[in-house]
Amino acid sequence: MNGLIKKKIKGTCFILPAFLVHLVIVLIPACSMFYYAFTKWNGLNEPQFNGLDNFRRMLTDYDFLFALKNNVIWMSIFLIVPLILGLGMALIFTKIGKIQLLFRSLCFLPYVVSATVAGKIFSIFYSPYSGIGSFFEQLGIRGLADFAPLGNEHQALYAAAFVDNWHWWGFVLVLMMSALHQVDAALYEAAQLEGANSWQILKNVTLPQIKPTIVSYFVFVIIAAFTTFDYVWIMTQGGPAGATEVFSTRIYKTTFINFEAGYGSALSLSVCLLALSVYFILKLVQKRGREQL
Amino acid sequence: MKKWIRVLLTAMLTVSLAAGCGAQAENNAEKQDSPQVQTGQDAQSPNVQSDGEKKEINITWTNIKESQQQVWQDYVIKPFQEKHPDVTVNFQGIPDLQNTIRVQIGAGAGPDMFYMDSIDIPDFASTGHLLNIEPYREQYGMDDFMFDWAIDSTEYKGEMYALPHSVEATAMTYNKTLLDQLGKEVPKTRQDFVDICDTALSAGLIPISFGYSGENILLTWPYEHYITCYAGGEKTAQLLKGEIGFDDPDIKGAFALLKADWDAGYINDKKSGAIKNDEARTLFTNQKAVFNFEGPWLTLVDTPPGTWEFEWGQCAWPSMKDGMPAASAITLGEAIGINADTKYPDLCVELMMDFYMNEERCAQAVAAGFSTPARSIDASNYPEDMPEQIRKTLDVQDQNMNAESVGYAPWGFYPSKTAWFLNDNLDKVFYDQMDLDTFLIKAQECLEQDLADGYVFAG
Repeated sequence: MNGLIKKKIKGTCFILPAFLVHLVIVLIPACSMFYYAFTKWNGLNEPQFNGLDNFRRMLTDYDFLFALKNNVIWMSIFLIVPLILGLGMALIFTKIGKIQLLFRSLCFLPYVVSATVAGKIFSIFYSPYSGIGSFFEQLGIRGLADFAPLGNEHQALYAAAFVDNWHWWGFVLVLMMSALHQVDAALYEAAQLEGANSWQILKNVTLPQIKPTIVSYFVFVIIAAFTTFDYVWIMTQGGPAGATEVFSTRIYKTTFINFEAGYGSALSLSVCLLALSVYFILKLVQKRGREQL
Repeated sequence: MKKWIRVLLTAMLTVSLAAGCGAQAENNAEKQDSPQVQTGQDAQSPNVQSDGEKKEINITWTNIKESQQQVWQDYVIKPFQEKHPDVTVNFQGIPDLQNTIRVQIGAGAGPDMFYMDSIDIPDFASTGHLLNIEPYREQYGMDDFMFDWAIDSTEYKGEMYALPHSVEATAMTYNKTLLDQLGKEVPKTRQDFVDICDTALSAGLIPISFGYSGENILLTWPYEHYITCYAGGEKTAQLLKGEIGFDDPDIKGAFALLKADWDAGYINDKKSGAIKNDEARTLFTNQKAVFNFEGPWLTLVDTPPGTWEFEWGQCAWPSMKDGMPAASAITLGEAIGINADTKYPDLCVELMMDFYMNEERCAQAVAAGFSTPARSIDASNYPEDMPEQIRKTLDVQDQNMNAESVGYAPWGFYPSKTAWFLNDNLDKVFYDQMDLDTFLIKAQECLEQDLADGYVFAG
């Protein structure tokens, strides 16, 4: 017993310095957001308590509600596209022997490119004068010569999401491959002996076995989708006409461009609570999934 | 042994953490002890501050080119350091300057001096973060040689809170070679302008090159031109004084005309939202566009002489309505804020005033590609070998600034909430995401809020 207490004290001592740094740099500023969310504050003056005004304003803030819609679209894209791509390619790669390493590395390559670099490069690709549009024009394909998705309010969000997907799906591939490697080979053998076809094996063996990984992926994507910022900011800063505005860009603009730090804190707090709610719901689903397994 | 190493490492980490906090506390204490505002006499006698310590002044500016930084070094910093060898001046250009500065200053830190737009002065001044320049105003006789309206633009509640660094008069930059090819003259009226734009479109050219992707703040250029040349400077002044609203027929008409010109494809073929401003400049450089929204800063500072292989010119933006003259908007291009917490307020003011007061040095700096200071410079002070591009720009700017009719550029005169709203939402009108009436109603709400917060028009 004595030894256990000593061990705990030792462990605490090791954690303490890092925890103190975390407390000062992350926890205290994060908690201060709760206070500022109920104030009128421009980031420079003394915050003035204004009750629930910021939250009332949020309900009629068209830009914020539009950002919410965009975040949901963004989240839907990332819940579906990289997963299908990653899982699909992982299923193929696990069957092609040693050469899979080469393909896996090639697919993973975009993940090591920084968001800034990828965003800038794709901005050039998307330019109507120096990108894909002008390439089509040179080929004489007039119909695609006007391809300028970042200047089109209906395409810009998908164009930015495409770049993030391009960057991200290689990681999902690796994640899914490692999950597939952990599936007990005996289960596949048993299914084959029972005469199951490929689709039945996928549906009844593979997917249930990698379900915890998929749910973890969902949790991760949902949180990441609520906080996505880099690609949108680098490529469009929420434009054109607010078409790519997401929570983070709206919060950033509100706080650091319009200098409404109090309202920005209220927006941040709401997003934080929203993400937490979704996180807990998914954790519940994950727990039930484990119980079923 | 291992146990002792663990204990030692833990102790070291804890001590260094505590030491870090301690150092900050000491710095803060030192800052509080240091004199916050010194007398004007001290500024004239820097030796009063010479106590053997190495003094350091940090200037933070926008992310300007190396050649621009060199001009700062050659004409502002070096001459000052020759006079004050004990002072080190660090000049740093950073992207996203305004946000960074606000966070730093708000946290009680930040550089000694920094670039700022005059529309941000009330926020900083009202919270005590800017040094009050008023004591230095008389000492350096600023009113004797600096433009009155530029000084007014730096005032908050009747007192100066920033140094007016540079002034500009907006302009239309045009490609004369292309105009000649199209058989057109430089436009003076709305009809001329529309005629050229339509002819340019038919010839496969872009009438006006303009890109604002990721930089909504640049939308300020088009609406400035349209308000100035459709509603006029007087109406703009009335609007900003709260005497008329955004629903005034002339103000509304200016925005409606801008929207119509966007729909007609005059403004970069409606692709401005897809390209950055750099690319729009490249289009103009490569003779794909006839006009450019940008004014003197483009040819004084941002485009090295000799880059354009065509005949070009600058003039006031053409009239957009019968009876309204072609006009430019004047504005304070750059202001310099001095941190109220600086240890060396006198030296900071002196650093810039030494430059502004020396007409010859100002002229040399401008000839080397510097923004035009907020003072008049006699033409005889400019060097003989000054690049023709700069001489031409200065002539046009001088002419536009002294014209009978001038407007007021938003980035120098509009209150901040209103300016940010217009910049952030104008393209929603372009893209039909917001109708013009709603846009103007919301702009009016912002203006009323600004006026209620104490904004005073400085024009």
